Amino acid sequence: MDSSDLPRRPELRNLIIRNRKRTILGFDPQQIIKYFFGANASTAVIVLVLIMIFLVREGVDFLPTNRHELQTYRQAGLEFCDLVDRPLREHQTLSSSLRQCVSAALEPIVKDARERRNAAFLLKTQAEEKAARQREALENALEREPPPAEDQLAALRKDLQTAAAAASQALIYPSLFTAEETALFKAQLAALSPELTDLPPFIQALSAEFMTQDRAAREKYADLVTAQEEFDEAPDDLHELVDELKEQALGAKQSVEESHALAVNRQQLLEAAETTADPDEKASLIKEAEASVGEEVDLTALTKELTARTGELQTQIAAYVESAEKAAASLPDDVGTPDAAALLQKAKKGLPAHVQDMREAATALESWRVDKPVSMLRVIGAFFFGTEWITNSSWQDFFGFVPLLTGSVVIALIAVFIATPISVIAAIYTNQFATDREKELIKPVIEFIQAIPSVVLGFIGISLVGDLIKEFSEVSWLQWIPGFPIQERLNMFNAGCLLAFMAVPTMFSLSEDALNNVPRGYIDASDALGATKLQTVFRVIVPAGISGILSAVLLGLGRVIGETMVVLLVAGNRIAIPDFSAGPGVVFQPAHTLTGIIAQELGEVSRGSSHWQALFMVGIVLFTISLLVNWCARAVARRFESQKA
Amino acid sequence: MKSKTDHANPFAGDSTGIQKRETAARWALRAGSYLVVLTTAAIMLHIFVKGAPVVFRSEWPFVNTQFLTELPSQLHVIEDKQGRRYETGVNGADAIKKELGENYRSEKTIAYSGGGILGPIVGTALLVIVSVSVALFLGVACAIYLSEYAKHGKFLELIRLAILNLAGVPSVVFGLFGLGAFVLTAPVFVDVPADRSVLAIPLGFTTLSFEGWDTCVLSGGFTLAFVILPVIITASEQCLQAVPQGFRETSMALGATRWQTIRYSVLPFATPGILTSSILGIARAAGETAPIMFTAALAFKDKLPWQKDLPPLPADASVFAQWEQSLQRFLGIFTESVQALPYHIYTLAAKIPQNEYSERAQYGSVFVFLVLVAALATVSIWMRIHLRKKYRW
Amino acid sequence: MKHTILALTLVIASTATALAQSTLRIRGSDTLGAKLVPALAEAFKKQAGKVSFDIAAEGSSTAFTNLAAGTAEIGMSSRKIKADERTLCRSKSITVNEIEIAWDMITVVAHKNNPVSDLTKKQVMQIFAGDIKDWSEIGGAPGPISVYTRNTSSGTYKDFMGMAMKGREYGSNSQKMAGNEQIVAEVSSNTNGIGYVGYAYAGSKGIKVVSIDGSAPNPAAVKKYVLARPTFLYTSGEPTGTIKEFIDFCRSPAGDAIIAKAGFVSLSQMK
Repeated sequence: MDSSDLPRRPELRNLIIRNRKRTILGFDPQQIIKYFFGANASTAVIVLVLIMIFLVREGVDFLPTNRHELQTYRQAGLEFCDLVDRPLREHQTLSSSLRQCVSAALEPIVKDARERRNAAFLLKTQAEEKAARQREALENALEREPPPAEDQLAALRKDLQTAAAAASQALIYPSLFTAEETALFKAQLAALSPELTDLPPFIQALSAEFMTQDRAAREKYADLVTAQEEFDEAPDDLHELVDELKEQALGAKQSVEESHALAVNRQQLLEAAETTADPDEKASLIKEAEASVGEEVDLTALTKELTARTGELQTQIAAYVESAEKAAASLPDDVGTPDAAALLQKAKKGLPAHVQDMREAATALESWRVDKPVSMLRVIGAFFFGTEWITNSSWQDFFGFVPLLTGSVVIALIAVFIATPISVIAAIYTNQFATDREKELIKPVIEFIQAIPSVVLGFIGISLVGDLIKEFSEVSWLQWIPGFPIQERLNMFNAGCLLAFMAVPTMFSLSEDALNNVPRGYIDASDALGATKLQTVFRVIVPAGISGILSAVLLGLGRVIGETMVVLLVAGNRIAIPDFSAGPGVVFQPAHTLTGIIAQELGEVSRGSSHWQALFMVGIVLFTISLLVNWCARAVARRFESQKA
Repeated sequence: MKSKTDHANPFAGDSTGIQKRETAARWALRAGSYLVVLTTAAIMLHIFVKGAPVVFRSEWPFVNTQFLTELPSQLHVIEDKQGRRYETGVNGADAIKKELGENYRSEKTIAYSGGGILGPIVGTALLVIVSVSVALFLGVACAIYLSEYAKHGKFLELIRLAILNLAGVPSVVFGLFGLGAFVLTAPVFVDVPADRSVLAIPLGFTTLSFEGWDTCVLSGGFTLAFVILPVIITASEQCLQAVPQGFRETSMALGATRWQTIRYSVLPFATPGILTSSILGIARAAGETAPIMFTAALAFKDKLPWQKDLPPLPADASVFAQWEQSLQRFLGIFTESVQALPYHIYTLAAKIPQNEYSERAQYGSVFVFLVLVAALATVSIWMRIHLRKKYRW
Repeated sequence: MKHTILALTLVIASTATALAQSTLRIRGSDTLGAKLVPALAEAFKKQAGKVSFDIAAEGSSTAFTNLAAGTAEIGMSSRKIKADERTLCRSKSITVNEIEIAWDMITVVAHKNNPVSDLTKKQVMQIFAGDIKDWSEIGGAPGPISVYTRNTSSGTYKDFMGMAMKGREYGSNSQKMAGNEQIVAEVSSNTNGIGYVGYAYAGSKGIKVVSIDGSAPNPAAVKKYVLARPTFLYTSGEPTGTIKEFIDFCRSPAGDAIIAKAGFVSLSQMK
């Protein structure tokens, strides 16, 4: 060691000693630095708490606001009308079945004629479309003032004729028409011109043919047709009465709301007046506030008018039930095709329940009390168990989140169902079988999926996957799959597939970690016992890593439920509980989701309205679900961990 | 293929049922794994095939500069009587119509499909800058605490639990949070507090009012910062942990304080790793749509953030006035709503038709967006491999 | 600390925004904002020079929330302002001023291959309310009806409810779409689809107009069509300066030409 280094040592010691002595406001700087980092570390906790606070702050008022709304709903008599109106809707379902039944019964007789007519119409439109440009030119020339020279018109006419002739040649004529008919029709299509206002004679003939067939078919099933019509018209009188009452109730509700709004307005104006400095402005605001007084609405009188008509309603209901049952009794049993018979059975089966509902409604009218308060429990129930999410309605808004929840859950299940096997298989393969080179391919690719923004996947869902699934579902030898051919290209299955793709990276990497964590000793022991690779993997490694895999699946589920853009763009946005009676084909129905509804509707509601608050309530539910899923994933991981130990 | 080579191998077992099953299972597993890879490749290929022609050109400068340097605008499609179609912007439309004269037949316009996507790119860049600076500051500080200071105990467990849960919060809930917290309640200095102000603290010359920043880059950036915070914390902590314990011990043995140790012996070695992993955070922040929907994004804006109309200064304006105005211009960038790429893609996907004219804008934007994100991801993965080789302790 | 600096910057910036006033922020209806107003804005910009527009079209309701919040100069709406919205604006001491700019016809559209081309008013109501569930009930080829409607903030959604459905609710089988274009896209890809759009979109590919009680929308006879309605621009207070210039432009002959081209009916054409 050099002697010139020696004087340094005391300096360093001095430095340290001085450092220890230096304080800021009596605190040790090291201590301060530590607290600084500690404070930053607690950001995560603080943010979680803040999220909760802000969600609750905007959302919690939903309960009182909605309670007030439901109170008005009751006091203005809307609920009274709904007592009858709701069960009456069931009539439409039955009526719809009967209408379908009629057309199914007529189908075998009129099918040919109808298809021929429709095909002819379609061909005509196609032919017109193909020659549209020439036709338009001629039309313009004909309309022009003064009319152009005859030779110009002739040239245009000739253009159109050639185009129409070419178009009529190029069309594909279905086998519904005989060769002669095709030739005839082709000639007529080629002769189409804007001056001919009548339909081509061939189409006229086909229409007439269809009309005769239809008439004949209706005569054959005259009983069915009349019974259906009678059933259809049965509630007309009742409807009229209910509509009248509804209008009255709605008027009452609007006047209540108006006077409420005016009162609020008055308050706000007065507050504004208090804060303004400008005396003129102040005076005008106060004046306006004075003017903003609504009439006191006497709801009890209004609703009394409604309840006074209970007897009338009950008679009408009884009359309706009687005529509906009579119509149903006159329905024939033989309706030709099995399809029609099934529909008829459906309608007949549904009728007793409907009649029962209507009778109950009639009695419920009597026990309905306008002054019964709306309990908080009912408001909570209406949100958590309500099956209707109706907003911006001209009758009454309802915020029931069951349809949204079912949509979210079904989509998430589809996604997990698809993603789990794939990602676990990929994890097992990469972890146990893959060569290093394969690993270098598979791992970065899967990691890359994580970086693909969800909105891009949503776009792919709209522009590519939807059409692919739809085309695929129309392949004839795949018709045994339930739900095929599908109608909507935007549906839960489409969204589920894309979400599965998004969930793969999470599930894959966590499962792979789980497999990696299996102690080496297990594998060695299994090998030593002479197990094959496959046996080791499936009897030793996978069971040992199962807790990790399960928690990976759960975390994947959490990710999928919380995903927004894909479901917003791809799920089809239909706010209704999926029709589970369709069996597994239910996955091809559209749905709306918890996340989607927030993204779709929040931008358009005014702050503080019940709709706004309801959306924040949905946010609270989502937040709770995400915490729960996380907690479950940890619990699963721990539980199996302790068992293994 | 495989079984043949097995036969050729004298040491291989005979082709019993077990072996066959073994091979079959292996192939099944392989097929499953490659399914993911192939799906990814197919999607990427689809976007590449449709999007690359929009962005690249076959002649110099090989890139469609118009698409990358113009703001989105309407596309005009003009048809003449012979059925020829001309695609053009607003200024070209009149010229073409005049030229066609009698021959003009119809014109239709398609929103957002003309011009380019400079506005959204700039907006996303701004959002990313704000969010990553906030998240890096908070995240690295948190990671330092977790890795260097924290002792086992309730507090540490609570923080870890919170980070885990924060990572699982749905992005749309972050959007709601950002709306409630930054757009509607964050503190600002104003002369007259707005009605919605939660709390107004008079400070004499001005008032500190909790009335929110409105929808702007700042609100969006802060919201995104909390979305990516868990990613940054976890990554930074891993990088700090990777610095060998010996470095710290050596430093402490030399008499350095804890802070000096961290500052001179830990952070310098961890920084490259932290920055690398934060690139993944950037990719995530750039790609999120739901959090910025209500906090920052705008469907259409015909100006770049810094092109703001300020009153013209008098000719004899002082240097100070000019300086003040450029400061205003700069700050204005962060206090206005912007277009952002992910939200732009949402608009393009949901609000305009899918046809041959809109496809250009749709696939072009998606392609550019993916290229940006993919470039970030690749850089991050590549740098990580590179760093792993460099810092092998 | 960080927050105070940020807050400080915000103050400076907000005073700056108050000074500058040549950006017109327009919010509201998708029916107006997707095609017509951008086209008007573009033409106006060409004519008047240094103005810039900032347009977002998420539905008519957003026009009034934005006007009330002072985040828009002009609101577009395909329906008249509701009483509670007027009150909301008034409570922020903003008097809304209503300007009728054009008429629109809500057009019921179906897939172009659908044989059904005329419906009665009652059938339209029953289809959208979910009472009629199958095309065979109204003489079409058998198949369940897919109903596409606008989303709830849309003025068209509300107008259609009032004009075509006697105020009844949409059926629960209806799907809510973000804009007219999305409805067109879905109906044109689904042979069993039905929906409604603004007249401007009626000529789109793959769909056809369904006439109601035999009357098809026709710009020459707007008032005869059952689903015709006026559309509005709203401003806070009497328009002044650039806002006034823009609105005058919209109602000028040059504006009329653009309105007609965008598929609306201008006021002069109504007379």
